[in-house]
Amino acid sequence: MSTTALEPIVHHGTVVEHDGHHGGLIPIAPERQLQFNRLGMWLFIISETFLFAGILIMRIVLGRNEDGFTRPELSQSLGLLITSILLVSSFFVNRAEVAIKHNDRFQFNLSTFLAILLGLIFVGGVVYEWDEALNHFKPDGHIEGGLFFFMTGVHALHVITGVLFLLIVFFNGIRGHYSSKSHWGVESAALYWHFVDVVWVFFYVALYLIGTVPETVAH
Amino acid sequence: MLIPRPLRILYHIGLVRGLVVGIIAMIAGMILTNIVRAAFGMDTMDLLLPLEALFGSTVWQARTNPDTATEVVTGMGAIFFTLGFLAGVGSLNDWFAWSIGRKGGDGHFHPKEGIPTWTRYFSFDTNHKVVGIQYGLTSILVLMVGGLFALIFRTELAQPGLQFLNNQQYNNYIGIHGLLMIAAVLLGVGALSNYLVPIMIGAQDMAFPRLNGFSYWIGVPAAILLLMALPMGGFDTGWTAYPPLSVRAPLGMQFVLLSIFILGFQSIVGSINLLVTIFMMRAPGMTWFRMPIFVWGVLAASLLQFTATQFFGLAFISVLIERWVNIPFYDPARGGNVTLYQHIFWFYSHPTVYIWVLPGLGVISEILPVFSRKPLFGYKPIALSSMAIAFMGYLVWAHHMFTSAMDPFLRLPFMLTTLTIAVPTGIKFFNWIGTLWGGKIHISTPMLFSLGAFILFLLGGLTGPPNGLVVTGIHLHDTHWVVAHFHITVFGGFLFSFLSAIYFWFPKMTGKMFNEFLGRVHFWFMFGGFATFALSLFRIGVLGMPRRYADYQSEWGFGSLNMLATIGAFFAGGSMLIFIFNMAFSARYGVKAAPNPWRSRSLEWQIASPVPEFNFSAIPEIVGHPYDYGLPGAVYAILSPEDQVAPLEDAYTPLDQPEAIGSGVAAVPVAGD
Amino acid sequence: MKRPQLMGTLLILVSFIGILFFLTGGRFSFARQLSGDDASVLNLTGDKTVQFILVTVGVLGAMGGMAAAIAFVVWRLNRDITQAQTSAPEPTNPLDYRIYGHRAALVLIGGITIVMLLFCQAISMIPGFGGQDILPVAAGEEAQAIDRLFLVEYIVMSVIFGLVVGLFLHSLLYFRAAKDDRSDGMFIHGHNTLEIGWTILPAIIVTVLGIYALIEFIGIFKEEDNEYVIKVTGQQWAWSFEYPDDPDTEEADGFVSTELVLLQNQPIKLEMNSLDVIHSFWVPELRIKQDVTPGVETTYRVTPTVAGEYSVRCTEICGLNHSLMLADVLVMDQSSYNKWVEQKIADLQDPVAVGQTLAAPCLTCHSLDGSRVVGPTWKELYGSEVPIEGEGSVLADENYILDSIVNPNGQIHQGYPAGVMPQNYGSTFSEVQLGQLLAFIKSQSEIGRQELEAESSADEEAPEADLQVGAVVN
Repeated sequence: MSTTALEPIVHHGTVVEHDGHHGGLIPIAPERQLQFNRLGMWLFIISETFLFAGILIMRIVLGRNEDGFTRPELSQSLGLLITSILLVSSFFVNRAEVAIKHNDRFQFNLSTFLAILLGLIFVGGVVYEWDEALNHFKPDGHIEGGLFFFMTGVHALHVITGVLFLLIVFFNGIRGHYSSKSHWGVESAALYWHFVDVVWVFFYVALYLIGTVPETVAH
Repeated sequence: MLIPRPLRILYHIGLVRGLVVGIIAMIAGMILTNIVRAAFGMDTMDLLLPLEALFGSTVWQARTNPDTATEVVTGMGAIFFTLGFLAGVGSLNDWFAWSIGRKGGDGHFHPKEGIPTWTRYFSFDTNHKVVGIQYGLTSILVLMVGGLFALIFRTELAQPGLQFLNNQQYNNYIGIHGLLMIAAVLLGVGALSNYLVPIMIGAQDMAFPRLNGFSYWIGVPAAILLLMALPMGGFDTGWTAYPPLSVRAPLGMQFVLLSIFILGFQSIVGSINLLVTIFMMRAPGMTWFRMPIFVWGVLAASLLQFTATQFFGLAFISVLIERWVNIPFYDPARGGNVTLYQHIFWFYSHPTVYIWVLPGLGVISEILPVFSRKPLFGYKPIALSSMAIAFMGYLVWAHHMFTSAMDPFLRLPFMLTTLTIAVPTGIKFFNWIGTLWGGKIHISTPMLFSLGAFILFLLGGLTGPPNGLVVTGIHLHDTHWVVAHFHITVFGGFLFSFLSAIYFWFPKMTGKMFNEFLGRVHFWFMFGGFATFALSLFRIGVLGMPRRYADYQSEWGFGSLNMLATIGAFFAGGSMLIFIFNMAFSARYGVKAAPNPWRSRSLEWQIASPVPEFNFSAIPEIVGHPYDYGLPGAVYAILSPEDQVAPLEDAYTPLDQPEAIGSGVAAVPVAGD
Repeated sequence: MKRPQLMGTLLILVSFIGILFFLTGGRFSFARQLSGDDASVLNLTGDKTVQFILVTVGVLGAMGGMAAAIAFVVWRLNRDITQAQTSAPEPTNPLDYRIYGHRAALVLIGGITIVMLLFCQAISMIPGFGGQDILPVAAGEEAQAIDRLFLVEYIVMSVIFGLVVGLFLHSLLYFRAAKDDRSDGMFIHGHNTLEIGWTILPAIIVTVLGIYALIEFIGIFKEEDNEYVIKVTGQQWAWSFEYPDDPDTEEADGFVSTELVLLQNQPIKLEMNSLDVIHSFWVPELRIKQDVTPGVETTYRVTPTVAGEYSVRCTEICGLNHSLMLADVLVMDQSSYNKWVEQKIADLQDPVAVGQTLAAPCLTCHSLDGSRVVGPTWKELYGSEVPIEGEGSVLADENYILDSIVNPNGQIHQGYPAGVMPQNYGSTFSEVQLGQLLAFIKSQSEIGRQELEAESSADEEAPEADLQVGAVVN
């Protein structure tokens, strides 16, 4: 067993300029980092999907009686209004992302600002909706009412974090941090916002559109 | 410069800063919650009461019978504590900086003047090896605390009649034991994955080093909250926390619910990090089927972790919300459904047991080839069986609910899916036998632990079908048979493999060799003690001893076997002390280890021990398969000369060895297979 | 015959495992013979010592004889084969036993023997540790069917364990390398046929087991024709059983019992409800287990066949006294059962007796002997002066007692914790039942007993007594 019996062909792999001393960190190219970030963000979205799927399952199982699905007594026009607001805000977020891809800073700032505004109006709408709802049913009454508060509450928490995310993007955007080549912050905030919007579409259908208001619901 | 050195060092220890900021945030949060509650006209919590109770001048009644104000205010205190802790430890620094448009750090460690390097392990650090060791040490600490509780109630159970525990204490201890152990297992899985995966795939660190550091540190407040559950009133539900009992449980229940919810973040964030690393950072030439088999186990476990954990959080949060706001998810009188909780809970809690064992089984697959000097028999089937187990693991959850109020018909499909999971698991065992057969087997402490894991997991797997076949399962459910079954599968699939891994990679982590004699003593005491414990429990379970019983009637005749089980448990627990002594002593005073003492072909064994800060100075190139032991001249990876510290002939079969029997392959090294 | 030793080894292995199982598990249960009970096959002499010696000598002799026979066969085979070859060629296939034959076979058998003995003895019975069988007595029809499946599982588990561990130990012992041997093992990285084989074979085994279990499942859970329905109520921390009115009589003679008494060979259907949290109903001898849930009624069907005294135990953690939530289950023959039913119906006239039954769950917290458990003792409670938190003291009269049941936190007995007693007893018990509970509590004190005496003698004079005794738990 001699050392000469084995002489592998040695060549330096992917060595990039490193800072000279032995064993330095090889920096990761921005395109590669972007790939990492994208995959990570999508995995996070998939994970959150499981959460909201679980909540939807709870609603499907709990909100029923012998006749079928039940739903709480809600204002349909208000529900439709806040849904539209959220959908429009998603449109503006998309517009902002497209704008920054083309380096159109003004459009980017404006669209982000409008998206944040609409998002805040949505949250305000939910708060108003809760106020209204409390006149008809309580969270500790029958389960349809409780589910309404729970689902809209969890969703609203995610909307608020989304708004915070967009605010960070907005303020950094004003200071000129993004460019058409590098705007991962915008892309990820946009993805999160769209996700929150899609979840709302499902929740809206589940809470407002399916089922009948039961007659004798304990208040 | 005027600050004395000890204080400066304390300031640089992240854990200390985290605790200080956390406690301040907690108090602020509790006061804030009180103010908000008062503004909305709700009742508030008397914040001085717990302080008075602490100094013994009053009994804090609300611990066992919490009113909503106490519950919500202490709960918000716990949440604020967590956020403050995370900020104080420094895990959010760079992200805060980015959010206000600043540059932040470069995400890597820079030693500070006058601060000793051991403080790294108690602070926020982005190096995956430091994070891995942090996870590992925390895991062992939590394991020992959980084990201590177990020994306490095992002593109580050794004889019929209540000796020194009352029912309430017993219920508290079994519950906290279960949760602490689950936390220890998840931390241990994190330890192995974090430390090993980047090096094994030829990367310098994980894909998101800052997120990695954060994922460790969010687990620490979770562990602290879990330990607070007992002083804050305890809980009488066991770890499964079924409502309606958990909705009415004392205040300690809330800390459990919050703690596990926070721990879930650790699981999800950590597994996303691992998935991106495995998908995107493998060295050139490392195709999927040239990855070390351990990485396959981690891959399968991570796929389960980042999806199923959300259901764990959902189950616990729904109970918490019912406690806080009284939304009747689980109150049948107002439209709730008690069985729904069980479905949500077990939809996570079954896949989680595969999260616990898949990496451990991957460790066994790693270690057997090294100590048999033979390729891993059936590498592809083993890799794919891990993925199959992960997938099927999603389809079996209601086998924990055979006796529940769910439609009895549903028992059948879940019985069938449960039985089919035995097939990929069996494949692993047969392939391991194939690895051993015809090899040149060397026995050492890591090999012993892997072999012991094999036997225990085999027994565990064989005692599964009596549970899974509904007809016999309804006799065994909620008895000590089930307790023995899950202990033996977790000891085999996780604990023995974890210990095997620690012994195996100890020389690589520390550069020192552990004491082999003490290692063997540890193994035999642990194996013998645990086997005694488990086999006794199988027996009394079948005979009719239910689980979670503080006491059993003496005429049932379980006394002698319970005594035997307790003795076995003490042997196993005591042997862990030998282990800790061995590790601590050898890390400091052990003999210096060669870079590749086990003569493994894997990447991490070619580089220096302890592993350099960034693992490799140049990314290696993979030119062959990882387990080609016995094939003369076969090369796995080509590293740069600075990195290749271990002599090549330690790992690779030299050209002039007589051709391996039955191989029929020409012995020519090929670069790029 | 290409591989005589291997085949022979496998054949011997399977029969060995079967014999070991037989010795320790099945009909010829080893320890049953040793303990010399009536069911023992060898109970010839009646003298336990002689019995013990006979069985031990017999079994060890049999095993020794078998081992000797195997050794002889293997030695002969090996001698024949080594004589046939003058020089042993290099083996080209690791499964070729021409050279390794006898050592491998002996190690394999020896290893499996030791392993199987340990496993069977541990899981089965160890003389001296009670001498019980693997399973409790099978006291029902379903239990017998379930036990058959247990037997099949045990055999399958033992065989697979023996095979795998046997090969495992054989490899470890036979392929052990010398300490300084730096050479590598054989370069074998897989074998497709083997992979397919050991995927399909376990799949077949689990499918067969699944089908067998399916067939048994249908038999065990199916509805019977003449089921007798008993309502079971689980609550923290006691069971109560409600027997229905007799359909043949016109009176309301259903009653509540704290023990479950079943008629032998009568199919029973239990309809189970919980008043608070999830409990679970289990009698080990009947094997079947079913959770008792609030809000959803669950069903439990059983046909008990063996008369005897068993106990039902709660098997879903339900709080403080989970391990004390037990009740007696008595399976009786027709005449004893009839006597019991008559007695219970007679007791319906006596409110104290009914109250005692209803009060079973209370006794986990309230003692009858004056000791302090969780709540105040009922001994000498009625008619006494009770100190109340913040109010001085009050007389424990009928109103006080009734109020304490339905509104426990209204007046707190000094020194006892508030908020522990469940607050829903007002909706759990009917007016009549509260009266019966009151009567029972009264009977625990001297004053109360005198009052009851006076009441009952007054009742005897007034036949139209107002005691309604419909005992229906809602």
